[in-house]
Amino acid sequence: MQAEAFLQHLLNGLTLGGMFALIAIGYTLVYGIIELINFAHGEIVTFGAFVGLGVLMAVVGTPLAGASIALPLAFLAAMVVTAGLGVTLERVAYRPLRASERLTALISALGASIFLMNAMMLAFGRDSKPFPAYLSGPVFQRGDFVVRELDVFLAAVTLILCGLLDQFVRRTRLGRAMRSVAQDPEAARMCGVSVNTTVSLTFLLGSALGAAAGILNGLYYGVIRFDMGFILGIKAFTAAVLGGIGNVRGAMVGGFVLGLSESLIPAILAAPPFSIPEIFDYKDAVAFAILILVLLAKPSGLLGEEVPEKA
Amino acid sequence: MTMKSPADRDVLSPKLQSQKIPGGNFLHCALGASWVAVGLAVVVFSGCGGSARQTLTIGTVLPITGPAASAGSEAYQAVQLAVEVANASGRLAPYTLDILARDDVSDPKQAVSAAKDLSSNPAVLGIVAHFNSGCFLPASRVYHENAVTAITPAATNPEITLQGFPEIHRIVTTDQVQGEAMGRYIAQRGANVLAIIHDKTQYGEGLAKVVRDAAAAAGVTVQSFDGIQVGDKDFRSLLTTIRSRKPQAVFFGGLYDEGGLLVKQMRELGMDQLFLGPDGIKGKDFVDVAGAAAEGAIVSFVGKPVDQMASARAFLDRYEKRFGKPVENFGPYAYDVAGIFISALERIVKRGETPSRPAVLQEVKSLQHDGVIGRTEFDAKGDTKNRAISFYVIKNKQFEFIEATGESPL
Repeated sequence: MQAEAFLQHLLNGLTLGGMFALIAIGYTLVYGIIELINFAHGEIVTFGAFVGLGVLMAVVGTPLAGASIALPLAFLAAMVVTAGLGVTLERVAYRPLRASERLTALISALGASIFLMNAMMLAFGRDSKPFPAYLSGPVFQRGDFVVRELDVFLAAVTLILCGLLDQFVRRTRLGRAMRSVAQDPEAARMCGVSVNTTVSLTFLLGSALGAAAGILNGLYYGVIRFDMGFILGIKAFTAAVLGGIGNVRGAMVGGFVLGLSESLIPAILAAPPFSIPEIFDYKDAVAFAILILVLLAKPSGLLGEEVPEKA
Repeated sequence: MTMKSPADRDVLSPKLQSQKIPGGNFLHCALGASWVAVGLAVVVFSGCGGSARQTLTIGTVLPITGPAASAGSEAYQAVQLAVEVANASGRLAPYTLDILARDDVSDPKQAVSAAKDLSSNPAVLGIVAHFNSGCFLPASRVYHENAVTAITPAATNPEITLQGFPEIHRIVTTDQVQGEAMGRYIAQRGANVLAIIHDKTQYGEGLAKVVRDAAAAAGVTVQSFDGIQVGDKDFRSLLTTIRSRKPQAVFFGGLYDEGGLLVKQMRELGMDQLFLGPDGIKGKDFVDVAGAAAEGAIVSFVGKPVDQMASARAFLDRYEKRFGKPVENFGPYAYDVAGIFISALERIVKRGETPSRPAVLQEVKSLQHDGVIGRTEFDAKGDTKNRAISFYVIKNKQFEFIEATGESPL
């Protein structure tokens, strides 16, 4: 493979992986704290994208439409509103079931996912909605290798948000509360940590990052649709498992590993010396084969630790 | 839009009326006999009223929701319009025509269950059937087993009419015809090296294979043939690989969402090759998704350009007035499918017979229908004899007609 093509594949994989990572964090945070796979997280991401689109459409034609004002505004609004949805979802669909069996909450999560997807279909329509174009110019071009402003923007936003979250969980009092509830909710409560507040905070953070990923997805591909959260959600959940579900850094690593392998592995197999024809038909199969191999070698994921089952 | 079945409503109405008889309150409740008398009066009354407003029913099974919803809704609305026009004209007097609508969501499983639902309803005399080939193919057996005539306004997979089911018809020509025309057109445009992408569906992959073979037969080198996943949004890995192989043209067999994303990502990766696609990407959605990247893309479509045909003018205007948006793709075809059923029913009614499924099938088989897309006549397989294919280029967000190939009976 030529160097330029390889670099392009690398860049494709990194941007894709960044989006997976931001969404995977939402899955892993929730799982880490209440051991629930929040199937509705993909829909949270879609909702965030629609809120962002709403803001960007509202500022079109006003002095606020410049990228330096409109984009931060869209991100801020979408993250705040979507965090609200995430917290509400937990209150309505998960908290009443926290004492019951895990399977019950899981079914509630599936129901919430179907409900939200269909509600968005009714509210926003069934068609793909075009996203206004921002930062679409190239910043760097050498031969075939093209880097667009959006690539840089996406990488920067992803890294900043991942870094902030990591530091928040590791260094702040609230982060310490989250870790304590994750380890043992009973003991945390006895030490004066409010479990309900901490769980709400977890949904708030995960949903805000999901909203950011939703807007990035819309900006990057230029179009969003009510059901886009489904495939994104599955991929990001895979990334979370790959990295070790429950582990925040694991979710980030898992996202990038999945994005890079989806992008690079079929490309390498399609290029000489392998030159396998029609290998892109199996792009997802290749990515999931990686997941199976990793889990066979390390059942708790790349960065996951062997933890005893909670009582 | 209401999915309530008109036939169900008719069955329920006598019961509803009997509950609302105003005189009932004045009768002595203890006298059971008088209730029976009221009941009889209602039956007689509704029987008399019924003869003045007898209904005939045709069914539609189209994707009102799901990935092909925008095209499916347009087709449904066109049928609705055709029925409204027919009822207003009184062509079917003393009958009025009703639609029984089902949604197949572009999903073969739901398509089959909707087909069973409508076929088992004896009131349904004919069905405007399916947008997607993947749906019509399994559902066609259901229609055959129930002897109900089904005509598709859009499903183009050749297999559908090769099964030997006499009830199955289509008003559009097949992917075989369209793919062959596309293959020859690519050669004629001087593109010697072609990369093909398809969406792994019955429609997209089937059509892409025909294009591959036809282009190869016309002397074009087909260097790759790759599948993508419907619903995926990131095709840059595949496109980067195709870029390094330097084809002169890229053909995509699939629908508008993936087609729009593909051409957009091609241009973002600096690929300036000619992009071509089939009827599945012709529609405003393709331009919406691709934005400026859609400019210059070539799209093939079955039939002659409708907006340039005098026969279609009135329909296009009427549709826009009724639904507040212009016709984009298969509306005229669905309108003509409904028109064929209406003509068949009209002939039966004019002969003084009561319309039945076998009578409708017989009429449809022998019909020469001059509708908005020109003349439709079915061959022995149930395919239309109109085999014209048109090519369009996207300019200023509009589909601009370039040329048409293939014979047509008009």
